[in-house]
Amino acid sequence: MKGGALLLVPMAVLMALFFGAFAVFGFVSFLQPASGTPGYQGPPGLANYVRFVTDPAALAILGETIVFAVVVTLASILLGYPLAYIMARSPYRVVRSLLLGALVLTFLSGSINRAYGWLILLGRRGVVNDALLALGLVDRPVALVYNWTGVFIALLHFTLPYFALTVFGSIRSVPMQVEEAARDLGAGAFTTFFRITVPITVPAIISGGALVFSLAISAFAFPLLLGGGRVRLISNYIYDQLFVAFNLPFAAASSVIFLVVAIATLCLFFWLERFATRRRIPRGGAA
Amino acid sequence: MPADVAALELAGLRKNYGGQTAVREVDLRLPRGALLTLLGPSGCGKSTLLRMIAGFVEPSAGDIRINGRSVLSLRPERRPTAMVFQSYALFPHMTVFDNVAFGLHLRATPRAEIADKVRRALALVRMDAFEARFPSELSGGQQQRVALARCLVVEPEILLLDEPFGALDRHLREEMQVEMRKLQRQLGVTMVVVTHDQEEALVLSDYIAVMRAGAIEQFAEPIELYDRPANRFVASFMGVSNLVDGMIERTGRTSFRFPGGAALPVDSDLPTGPATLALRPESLRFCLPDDDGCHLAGTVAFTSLVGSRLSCEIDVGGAVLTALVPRHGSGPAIGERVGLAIAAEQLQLFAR
Ligand SMILES: Nc1ncnc2c1ncn2[C@@H]1O[C@H](COP(=O)(O)OP(=O)(O)OP(=O)(O)O)[C@@H](O)[C@H]1O
Ligand SMILES: [Mg+2]
Repeated sequence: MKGGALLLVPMAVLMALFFGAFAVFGFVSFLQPASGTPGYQGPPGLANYVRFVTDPAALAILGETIVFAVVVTLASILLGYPLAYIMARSPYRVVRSLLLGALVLTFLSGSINRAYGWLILLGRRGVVNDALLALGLVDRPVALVYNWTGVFIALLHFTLPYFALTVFGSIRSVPMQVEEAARDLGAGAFTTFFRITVPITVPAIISGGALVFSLAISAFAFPLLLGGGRVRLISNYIYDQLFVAFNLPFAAASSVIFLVVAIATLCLFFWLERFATRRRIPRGGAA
Repeated sequence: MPADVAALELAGLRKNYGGQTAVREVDLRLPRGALLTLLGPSGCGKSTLLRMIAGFVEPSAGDIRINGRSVLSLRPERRPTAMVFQSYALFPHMTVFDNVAFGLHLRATPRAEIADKVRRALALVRMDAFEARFPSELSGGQQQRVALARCLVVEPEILLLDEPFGALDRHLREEMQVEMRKLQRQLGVTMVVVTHDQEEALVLSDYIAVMRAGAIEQFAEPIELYDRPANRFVASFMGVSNLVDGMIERTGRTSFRFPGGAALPVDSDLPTGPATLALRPESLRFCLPDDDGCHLAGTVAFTSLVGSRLSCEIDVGGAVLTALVPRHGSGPAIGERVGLAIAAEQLQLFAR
């Protein structure tokens, strides 16, 4: 086991560095900003935390961020699950490969590229508004960017592949015969979908949801580029505290609060998953 | 319902996959309460045929009638059939009770009645003590019983089973075969069972359909199939391992000439010419080579022990016959010259 232990050393160093940086940052959150400079000074105290939880603007941003992340997560589930289902179960090979290809492609294009892409598509003079005007559906351009709508669309596009690919594997692993058995016993296609396929894949839906939620709650670039200053999520708020207000200790305290809230939410997800699968996991190798 | 309406009737049923034919022109009538096995080697189209009856595979041609009514236009969930899958396909997220209750919920059965019926079905398969378990907490044999109960509880007109014992060990398989047969008799349910094991087919069936390359080679009751296989393929599939290609000759009386020259007097109305002799190993007896009742002579080439019997390979010149004989003492020695007596009524001849 000596060689194995040796291999752990670089790992341990790496982890120590990562968590060390966090620990320093966390410690700074208890200090005070040095007036006029980006530095900080003692004595340690809870002042930054008190300031955050008593500042209605800060709390509003935290609340909005959570609500927005929940909405993006729900939208990803509602849109991503049927997408994954078609990808896994369509009898047409072309449909399956096309959808999979499109998802992988969105994965590979960077988020900044995509943000500018959405600006072009959704802007006042963008393709979508041109089409709506040409069809006579609206008589003046609709505001699709520089507001919540634009950030929502872009973020959903970003998170969808993560969710769809997570549940895709799980749907694929539900044996066709299990769905056929339900049909055979008298369930129509819809009943089979909602009472067999979806419940069996609940663990994957929760994992995928947790993934999307983590991505959405920490979104930074999309609100920055597509929010037009009106949409600010917690990451943007922390960034502003650091690089606009130069208040490192307060930014650190905001980060810690954000981290605690995010981790608590994720714990809720994983508790849900364990609850949903508590007795389904094969015991002691029984098939 | 008139008594002469078949529970299941297949008429000219066919399935093509692209250019390949999986099932060709199957015609068959099964009376109510009978158990039919589809028997045949791997890839001969048994599952395809079963899945067409269940509604999962759309036939390319032909008709399927259940109690005289065509079910071709019905989707699987509307057909009066229920299927036990080879993998059992239990719902992993439901307890045993809920698995069995699933079909009843869909039929809008009152709650109290559901509980009653589920418990009765589970009792039938001796799984009543397991109703709160999840499928992952059951052994293979127990899962299979639950799968069976799940089908029985909805009272299908036809119960379909695709290799139901394939995943069980030999001991459990034999036990389940007998149990299934008793249950089927007791309930009088019409069943179609797919298997590739001829012994299983003999234990279970009222009728056996032997399939080969998508077509039914012979449809018969087990005893008839065992004693009178219709052709060389069925014979070999039913365990007739002695198949010798020779000639039928008529010089005064009819005889079968072995490739090595030996002649065996036979009773057959096949035309003179090439024919195949089919003989079970257990219908050969040893005798003294020069005795009157002795038909053939040969030398022992190989012997091996099969339980209480001895399997001997005898070279009769141009052909090797296998004889399965009761074991007394040490049996014949390799190289020994022996005579063989054949009971005429246990011998079959097929034209080539
Ligand atoms: N979906 C399909 N597409 C194309 N060919 C198929 C399909 N399903 C079955 N076949 C072909 O049809 C033939 C019959 O298959 P089937 O599954 O009915 O055989 P089987 O008798 O059940 O064999 P086994 O004992 O191995 O289960 C095989 O040659 C198979 O390759
Ligand atoms: Mg099969």
